[in-house]
Amino acid sequence: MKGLTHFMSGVALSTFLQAPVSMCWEERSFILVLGGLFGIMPDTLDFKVGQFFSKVDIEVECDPNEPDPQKMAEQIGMAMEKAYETGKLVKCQLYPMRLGVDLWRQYVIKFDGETNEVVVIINEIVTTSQKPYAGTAPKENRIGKYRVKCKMLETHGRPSVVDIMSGPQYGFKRAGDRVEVEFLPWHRTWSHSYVLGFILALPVWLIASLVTSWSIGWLYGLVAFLGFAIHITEDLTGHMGGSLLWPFLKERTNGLCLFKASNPHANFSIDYASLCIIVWNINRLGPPHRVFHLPAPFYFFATLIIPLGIYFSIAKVFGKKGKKQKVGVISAEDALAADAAAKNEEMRYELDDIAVSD
Amino acid sequence: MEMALVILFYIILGTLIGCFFSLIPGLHIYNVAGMIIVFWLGYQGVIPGYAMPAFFMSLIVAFSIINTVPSMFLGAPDESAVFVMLPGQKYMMDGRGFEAAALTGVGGLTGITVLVLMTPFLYNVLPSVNKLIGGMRSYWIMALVITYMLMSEWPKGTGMGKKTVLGKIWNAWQNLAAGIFTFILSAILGFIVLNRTFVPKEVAFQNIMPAFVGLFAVSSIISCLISKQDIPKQHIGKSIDLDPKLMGLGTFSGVLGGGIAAFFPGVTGGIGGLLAGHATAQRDDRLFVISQGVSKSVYYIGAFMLFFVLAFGAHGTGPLRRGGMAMILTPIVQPMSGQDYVIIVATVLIGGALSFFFLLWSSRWIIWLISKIDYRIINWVSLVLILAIVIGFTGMWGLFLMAVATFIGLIPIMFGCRRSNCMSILLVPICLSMAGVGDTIVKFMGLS
Amino acid sequence: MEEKNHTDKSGALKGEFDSVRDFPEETLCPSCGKFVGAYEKCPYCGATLKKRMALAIFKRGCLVMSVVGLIALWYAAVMMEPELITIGEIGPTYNKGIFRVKGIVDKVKINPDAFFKVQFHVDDGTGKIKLQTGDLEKLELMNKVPNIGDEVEAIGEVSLSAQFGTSMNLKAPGRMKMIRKEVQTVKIGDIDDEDVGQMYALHGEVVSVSEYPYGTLVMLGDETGFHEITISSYQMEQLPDAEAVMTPGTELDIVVLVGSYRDALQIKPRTPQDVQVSGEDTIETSKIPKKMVKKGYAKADIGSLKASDKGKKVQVKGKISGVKKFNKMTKITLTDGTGSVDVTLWDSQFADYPNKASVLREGSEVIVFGKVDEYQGTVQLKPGDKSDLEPVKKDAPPKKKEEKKPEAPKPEPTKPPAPKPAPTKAPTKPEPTKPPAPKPAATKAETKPEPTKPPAAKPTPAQTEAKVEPTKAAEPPEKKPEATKPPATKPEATETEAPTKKKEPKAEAPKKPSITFTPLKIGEITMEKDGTFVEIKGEVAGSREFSKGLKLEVKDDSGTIDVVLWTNLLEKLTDTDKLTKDGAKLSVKGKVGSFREEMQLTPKYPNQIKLSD
Repeated sequence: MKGLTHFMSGVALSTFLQAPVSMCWEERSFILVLGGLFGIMPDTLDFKVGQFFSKVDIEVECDPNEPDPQKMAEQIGMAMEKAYETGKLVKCQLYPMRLGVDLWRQYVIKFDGETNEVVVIINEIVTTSQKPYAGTAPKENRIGKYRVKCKMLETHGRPSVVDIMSGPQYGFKRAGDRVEVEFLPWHRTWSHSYVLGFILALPVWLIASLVTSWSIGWLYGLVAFLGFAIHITEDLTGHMGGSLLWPFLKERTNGLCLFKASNPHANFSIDYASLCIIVWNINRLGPPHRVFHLPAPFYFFATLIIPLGIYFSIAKVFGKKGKKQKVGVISAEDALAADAAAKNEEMRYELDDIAVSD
Repeated sequence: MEMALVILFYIILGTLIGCFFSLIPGLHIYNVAGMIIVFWLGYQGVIPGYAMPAFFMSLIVAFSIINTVPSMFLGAPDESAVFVMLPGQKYMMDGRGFEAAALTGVGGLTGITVLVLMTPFLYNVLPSVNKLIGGMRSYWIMALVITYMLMSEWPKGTGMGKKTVLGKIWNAWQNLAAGIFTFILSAILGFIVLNRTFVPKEVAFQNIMPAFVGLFAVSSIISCLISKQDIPKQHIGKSIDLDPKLMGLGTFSGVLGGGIAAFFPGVTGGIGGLLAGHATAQRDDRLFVISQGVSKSVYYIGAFMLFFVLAFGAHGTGPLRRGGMAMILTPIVQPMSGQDYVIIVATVLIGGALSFFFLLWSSRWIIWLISKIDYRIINWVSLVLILAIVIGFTGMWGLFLMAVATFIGLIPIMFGCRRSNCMSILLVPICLSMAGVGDTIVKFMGLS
Repeated sequence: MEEKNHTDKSGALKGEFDSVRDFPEETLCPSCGKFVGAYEKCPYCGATLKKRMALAIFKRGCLVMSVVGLIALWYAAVMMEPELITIGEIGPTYNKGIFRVKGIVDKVKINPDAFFKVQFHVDDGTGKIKLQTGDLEKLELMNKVPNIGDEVEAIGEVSLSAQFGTSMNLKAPGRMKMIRKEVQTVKIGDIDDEDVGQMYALHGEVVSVSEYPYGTLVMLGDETGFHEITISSYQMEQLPDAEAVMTPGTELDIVVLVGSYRDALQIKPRTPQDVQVSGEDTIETSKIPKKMVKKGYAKADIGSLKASDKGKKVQVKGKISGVKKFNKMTKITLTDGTGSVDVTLWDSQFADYPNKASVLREGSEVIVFGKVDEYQGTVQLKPGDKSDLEPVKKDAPPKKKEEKKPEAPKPEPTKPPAPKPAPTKAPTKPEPTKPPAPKPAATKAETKPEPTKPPAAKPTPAQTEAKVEPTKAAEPPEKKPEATKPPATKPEATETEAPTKKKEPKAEAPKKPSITFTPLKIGEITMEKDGTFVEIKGEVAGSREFSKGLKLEVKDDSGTIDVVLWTNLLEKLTDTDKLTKDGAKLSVKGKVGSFREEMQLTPKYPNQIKLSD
């Protein structure tokens, strides 16, 4: 989920508690802000701190001026082989190819489990809004392939489009007789653990207790934990999941794959629902006399169900028809098809939307 | 009837004056309004009292639509100095500045239409909402905004080429650190400015003006002056690339962002746009440009319109004073009846229509101008004009204040962090004052 | 976008890639040719980009200068003292400015439950401003809670709005400078109407306590007299020792503010903390007078009362010829043969009047001490409290004889002269030499019992003496003893007029002097005309609703004025649309008043506002 969604969810969850809302209303406490702060904390820990501590074994050469897809594919493939041979986790970092303030060279990485190949396709030049400039794809040396000597187990499920801001990191590790491909191995590990949430809530409780009093300091810790926990729970709706019980269980638990983390409709719905919940709870628990007196079913039906119903109806009517695919994936697919046709090979792909980064 | 004609006259006059001054880069309409107020106090017959609200509203309407023009055409981002190019700048660098200006203008008109249609909501529902989350109790919402602003800024550096962890972190955190640093400096500046009057007492109501001029206007002009980039040839198209879906999405996002900014104190259009953009996951440049146009009009116009919603006063909290214009006019204007609101709505509609046509004309004119004169010269002229206004109105203390603020305002430009961090000049002091800890901080700073 | 091959303008991009823009040289690494943008060091090859060093210096300069500048600004702010301004000069452009003001406190309101717990008005001679702060605790800690009369110098932020006027939010309440006003000690019996607005320290004994809906009335007395001290419910809750205060016999030291309420004297504690149990026992309860002396009330015939006598203190004797009950008051019509007058008895003052039913009935004879007032063109009398209404005792017949010698009582007035006059009140007053003062009133009452029957006959001569000690009435400023002797003190033109008027009252028609509306130009209506009745002609220039009615802006060639139409009047108007339309030409009669220093005119009846051509 997007940062704002986690943030608002954290606040919304905190407002279900009577005491924090009363403190906010009567004593000008900032306790509810903790819910939002800790709601966004896990991704903050990952993207602002954690990723830099992830020691990279191989940095793939991403030359923006003269991209060499074959070399890139070889580097990635060799990293996988090394992981298979050594049995250790091998991390491989890719970078964006920046050509200007607003110009990036887009490329796609695909781990083909059927042909056991790593495929790198160089696409068009795109803007920071990921709009491609037509006709700017390289005419030669556009596709690179490397057949990995060991069997691969691709868990990510779809090609990665790399264009703006940052590049992905892959982790390769041996799983039985295969090499497992992990997308962003540093993401959603220790930072997305309920245990860590509890650990981080402890200093909050201590500091709050010392500043205020022991009788209410625990509330601050509780709100912090709830914010942290709702973030982890929301992330379970996606693909990647998280290491829910780190350090006791370090493996990432897969998500429920209900929708993509960047799905705009899902994000907006949760944002809006959070807002409705916040207003409802503040009215219910804050002022001595409620500002509005509506029964809960009516309130949520009128302010949540109906507007969201209208929203989704409009989205359905005016939204894109058919299966959504990223432009970059389409371009890569076309390139591969053209290449296959040229090489008289038969291929079949199923591609879905992906997002490289949140 | 006579009164109606007089009001109409001042609407048109205000729109024209607003359009003219909005073309000057760096000059904000609140500065213009302040100067007009000082002039009016000396010559009170110039604008009759009943026409004041309409006149000043038409200034704002014009500004919300026209101020796109100087920011679009009179500044080329230097690729060797900036980290991110804004969508409007991209359009301009692609020679499509006119199209971007038109898109923004269309967004502005849509925002105006939505505001007028929202009158029943503004008049009947919002006062109740205000009782719940407005007034002094909005401190925690402002704190949420501040927290999200700081937490949602992501590192721009990739750590590429750095071998050590610290090297990677520093490479990535430079812009973040600059953002936090800007935030803190602006907050301190805000506490100082809100607790001491540096300017002459006769213009005390413009005490914060030099700070804002420095943070946003002069720093922008300086960044244009040091840019080595030329403005490419601009194409004046006969149509714009727009479809209803895009229009709808942009309007939705803009209304959301502008509405948040109009309602909560200290939250400006830029911050509201940031929140709305995150909520609606904007990607398309066109979407961004349109939503910016909508957001600006909803913010500037909507904030002042709320001043005329009498129901806020009926709840004992007094009229809702949001935005600089309401603050400037509070000592002089008191909305008395629903008729005032109707006049304001009429002003917004008439002024908006006039301003849009002026936008198209002025965009063409500016394109012609920059083809003849280097845009840097125009920026130099603006800089001199702004300095003259600051010194003339606020004296040397105001100039000093402006200079300090300019240095702070240049940090986001130079280091690639959000310029909205500068808004902590108001956000933090207001939030902490509402929370009851403002006095403690002021005392700690030795300003009490 | 048109395709073009990027020809080594920068020498960097090669190959057959299409480029979309020319790349300035500064943006590319001179070593590897890759785009580096704003970086000072190439992230690819690590080369230092010397051409951007100026920019690097500029960036660092911004950082340093922003910090240095901010420190300098902060230091200047700390050293800077807010400017001292006069309240009168504050205008719209002063809004949000931080300034110092200096002046005398003339009103204080403390409400711990409000956001601004302390609000007080300061007058510096050029104007008044309300100062407010929520920091009551700090002020109390530093003993800086302002009191009326104190001189203060405070720093605050000016807040101006067209709706709420001008106020100042205190900054740093603890830094407020204050010079406390010394409170003068006086005797209770010396306080009268001329002391309104003053502040005194009293020492007295609680005589009796009674409660009213909004507080408690504590009768406090010493040997010179007694007064009711009005303590609001809020103040009662704040009293250091409320129980003792409510116990008759307790001696209190109290600092009071003398005010008026509905034309009656109202004495209130300055603050709850100013009500202190004395702990002494210096007052002999038996020496506390039983009845208040009515000072300064000249006897007058009812028929002689005119609207121009408004504000004068008179005593009249007559028979109740009518009793009418209203929502919050009772109106009795008093007739003495020379005329009749309405007497307003507010329930808040007379609700617990003893033997009310027997006294306040048609036919009973009473003596009323009150102030002349006018209402809807009719003269009326307003007593202050229940001690201002005395029934004439029924065992009057014997006294009738006495009344033949009304001069007999006259000796009493001699007593007053000696003690009262000025000394005790004004700074010049020495003090309490007035023990006997109250008594005369009693005797007076007795001397004038009920020959009310022959009202036409008696009136003036008998009534002309007795009361005077108008030492005070004569000259409020300094209480010249000149007023000592009754005869001298009747400035009361009433007396001179009374005789002539007495003949008329027989006509029975209650003489209700009519009001004359003076035709004036709008520009001639100034503060001096406040309270008078005028007629204007003008044109409607605008209108605006307010919570209790409508204000019409009426203008003529000399100026503009607001005409206030209260809701109850609006409901009675038949041509409201025509009358309130812009451009309508009106003729308006009404009473001149002012609101927030703006003059306004208030008509009372529908026929006082009409269209004119």
